[in-house]
Amino acid sequence: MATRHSLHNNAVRVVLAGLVLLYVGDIGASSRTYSFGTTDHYLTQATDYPRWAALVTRHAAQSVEIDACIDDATKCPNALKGYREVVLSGRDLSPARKIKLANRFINSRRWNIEPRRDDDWRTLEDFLQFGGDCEDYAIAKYFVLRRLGFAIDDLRIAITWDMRVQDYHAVTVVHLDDSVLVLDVDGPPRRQITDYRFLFSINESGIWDHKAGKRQHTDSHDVIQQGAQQL
Amino acid sequence: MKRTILAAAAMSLASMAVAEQPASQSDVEARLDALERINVTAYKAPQADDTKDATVEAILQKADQAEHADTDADAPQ
Repeated sequence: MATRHSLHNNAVRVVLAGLVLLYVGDIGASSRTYSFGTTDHYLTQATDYPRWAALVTRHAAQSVEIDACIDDATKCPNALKGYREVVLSGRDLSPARKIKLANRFINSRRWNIEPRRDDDWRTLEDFLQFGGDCEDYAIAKYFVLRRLGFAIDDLRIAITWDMRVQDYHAVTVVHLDDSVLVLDVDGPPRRQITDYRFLFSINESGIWDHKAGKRQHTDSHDVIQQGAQQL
Repeated sequence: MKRTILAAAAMSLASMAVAEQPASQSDVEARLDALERINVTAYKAPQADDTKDATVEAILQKADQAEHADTDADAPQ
């Protein structure tokens, strides 16, 4: 009886120790990823999203011209001259100042609303030349910060439902010193924006589905619409 | 008491296991399709950032000057 009792106690200890280890492991995993206050589920690799994959490919192709401009001012098209100054003067700043610089620089650009049916995603260079709308601002900030030295893992473009405007919106999110900063088109970097419901986020390595934890069935469009209507 | 703890532990482990299950391929495709169908078109007027930082401002001024250098050269005297 005493032996059985002892075994039982040991089993309890082992299970509890396992739970502690799992909890600690989970904390470690969380510290490597962002938290938007919603369930943060990795969905798939970035190349599985054609619109984003095409944009990254176009950006890579345009990087040849961008690199040449950074190296030699005489090779800069007009649209990239200001960007060159931002990159050269900004790359030795502290990370916090780099974020402010990228946010201010891009937010000063021209807003150019695209028709809803033709909502193309613009590369950084296209945005600097023609302007764009909210996701183009977010994409441009993402690539400016990448150029200023931020790692892929510290950046994402987040697709959100804007509860105030009642429409989809995009922002850049940056991981800095164990916190997340949201870079929006209408002001300084913020630690929290309560008006947004985060739906998806994207970077060059992956796509995260922030509604996955609340998903009840696989009709994704309905889930998103339902989520928006619940607000 | 111990049975309760063990049951709670087992339920916690089971819920963690469920939470960690990767999405199925069809589910991933459905979610990607949902993402593809989102048109991000909310209009929010860009606004000035009032939190001035002298270092950042100096760089932005240089950038502005670089962008308008040709325009200034062409401007009538």
